[in-house]
Amino acid sequence: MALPKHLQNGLTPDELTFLAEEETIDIVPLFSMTRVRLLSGIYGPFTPPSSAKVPLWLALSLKRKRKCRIVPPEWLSIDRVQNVLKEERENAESFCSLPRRFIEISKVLLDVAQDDSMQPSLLRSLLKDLREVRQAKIRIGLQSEGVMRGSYLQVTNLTPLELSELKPFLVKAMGIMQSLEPRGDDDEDEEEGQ
Amino acid sequence: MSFFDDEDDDPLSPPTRPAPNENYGMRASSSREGSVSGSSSFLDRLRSTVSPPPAQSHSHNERSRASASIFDESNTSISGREYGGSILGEGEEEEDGMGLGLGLGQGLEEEEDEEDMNDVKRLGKIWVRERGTPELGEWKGELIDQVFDKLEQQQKMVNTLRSDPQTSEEEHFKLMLVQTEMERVKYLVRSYVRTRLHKIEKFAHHITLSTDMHHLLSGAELSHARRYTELLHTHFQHSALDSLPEWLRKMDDTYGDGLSMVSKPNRNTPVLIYCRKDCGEITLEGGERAALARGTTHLVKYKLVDRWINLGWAEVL
Amino acid sequence: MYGDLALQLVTSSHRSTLSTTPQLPLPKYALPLILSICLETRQLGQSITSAAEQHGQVSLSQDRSLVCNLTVQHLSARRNKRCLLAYLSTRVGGIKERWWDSGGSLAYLLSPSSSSTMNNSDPSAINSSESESAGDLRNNLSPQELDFLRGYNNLMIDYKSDFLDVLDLTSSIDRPPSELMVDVRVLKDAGEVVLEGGEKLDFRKGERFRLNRSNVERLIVQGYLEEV
Repeated sequence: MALPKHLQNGLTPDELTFLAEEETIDIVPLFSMTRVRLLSGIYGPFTPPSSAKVPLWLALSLKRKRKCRIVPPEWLSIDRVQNVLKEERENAESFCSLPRRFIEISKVLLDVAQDDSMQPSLLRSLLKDLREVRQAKIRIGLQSEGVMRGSYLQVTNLTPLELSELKPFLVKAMGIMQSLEPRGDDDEDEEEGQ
Repeated sequence: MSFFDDEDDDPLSPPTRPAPNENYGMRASSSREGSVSGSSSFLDRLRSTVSPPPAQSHSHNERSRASASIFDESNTSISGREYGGSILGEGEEEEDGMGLGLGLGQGLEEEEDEEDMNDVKRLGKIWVRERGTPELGEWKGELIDQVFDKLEQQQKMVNTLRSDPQTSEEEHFKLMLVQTEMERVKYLVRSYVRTRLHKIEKFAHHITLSTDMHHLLSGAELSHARRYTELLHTHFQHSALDSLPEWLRKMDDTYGDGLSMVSKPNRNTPVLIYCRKDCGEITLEGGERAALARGTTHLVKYKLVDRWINLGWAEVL
Repeated sequence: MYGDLALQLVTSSHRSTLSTTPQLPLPKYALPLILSICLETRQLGQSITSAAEQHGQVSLSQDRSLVCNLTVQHLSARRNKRCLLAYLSTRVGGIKERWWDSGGSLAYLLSPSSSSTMNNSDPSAINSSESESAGDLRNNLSPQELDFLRGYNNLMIDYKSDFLDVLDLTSSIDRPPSELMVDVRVLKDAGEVVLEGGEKLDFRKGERFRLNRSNVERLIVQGYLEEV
């Protein structure tokens, strides 16, 4: 089909990572180059040791060619992540607010540029913990009674990636709930919706 | 339309550029011819396209914006008691604020206004939206045209400079970056167009019949919807319907269970939205109400929030 | 029983859609079953017509068993139609899926084993040479489905022509692009292929190349090359 089957349920993690790669990030170039004009903007000049702001995909591309050092975003410092993790554990009722592309960006940075972060293995395990704490909360949340009532769910502070993992299940569950609802309701609502 | 035209409306580009007028000729010169016989001034200008001169002021207006930390304390705690289901905090809890003092900033780009966004980001937005909603969105022809013009110009520039012996190592490297980005943008356009095509074919008959929807489609899309409907119906007729009694040959029956042969988007499909603005309250089935406060995220039936999506107050995730 | 055949048709069709990976070949068009269902439906139609003619308007409203009889026949006929179209429609989905999976190459779809005439720049060219593996897809499609496939191919050639200066709509969107260059290994001889810049390359089995991804996307999709 025009849209392959595995893409029909919403954005995939790969696609979300692609979007995350449009976010800008600081790099310290290891080579000199004048400014370059791309569709998304003009980047550079690249003159070590001054930093430059570029889209993440560009940073990763340079990094793979060993042409830059990537400056991890502030929110990806050990301190920050530790704090978030602590908050996340202490508050059972809601989720911490994270940067929208938190998971994707931290993952690609640790994959491609782990030598640019302080204590990558500690960071990696903190991120893993954070993800697991949140996933556990999601599981508990979904078990609570009446959570699917009315085909509606408030999911504030979950990131799009986390939601993309949940969405296929939730949409299916809601569809089943809906088919159990009394008929006639639909047509009425349809009118209202027009 | 010319090589340099687009720079004028490019917020990132330096304001002084060569006069764009004579560039029409260049557009006509196809990549391959141009590469051999291009005048040096032409090549120079191509070079300055990929390597813009230093700007007077900071060219990155994003720089200041991005410095607003996502973790800063400017948190307006999200009030609005949740009804219906919330994934955590069932609403019976006395929990008042959902925010944890970690800031509302859910996304790096979230404070970014539509006008500040570059074309690639805009394209990403409309792609995400098209993927996330059951109904066909409005065809963003202007943006697509704009992006296409730029892609075409870049392709010509790349072809010309790549085969020019005087192109330096640094320029070759830049061209590689230009091409990498082009592939990204082309992918986005492809996926956007094909997502629409998927919906258009799925609801081709419905679209063909609903004249009030036609403004949502490009000319080519509408014609595709019509021709596809015809192709499909012909196929059904030749394969089966022609062998059935006359009264069973129609393509627009409604069955006893209310299901029509003309399939329509299911507006009850849940969508994920992030409220950029306060979108008031919605009434759920069973009469319960849910607040769509600024900064909150919901999985909710499309038909309950489509107007907020259309207004841009709610962003599809 | 009325409708048994139709039920058989849709259940087998449903079963064939259950497994998505790996994609199974499209089952052979169920012509005998479809002809029987059409026949049954015509018989139902005749029975309804003659019953209605024999008894006039008057008796229709009085004779409850007749009304009941007619209703059942009517619904059975309608249900047969619905099942037929559901079957056809599911297959149309499968046909389109394969068209897109092949990168929009009708020639490749209808004779997957012939590589000598494959032309990278003109995927629409219908390959006339006899296919060795007896063209799996071609054999499993009904003549009407073949017409549909060709018609769809034509529609798409028109539709994508608007974009062709800049991009090929039928290139893969399965995964977002990453790096520009890609390392590939040749899995089966693809012969000489003209690349975007006019460059010619002879792809022989076992060889490795480092190329612009967009240039060889189609060959990857069609299984000639493999990313390493």
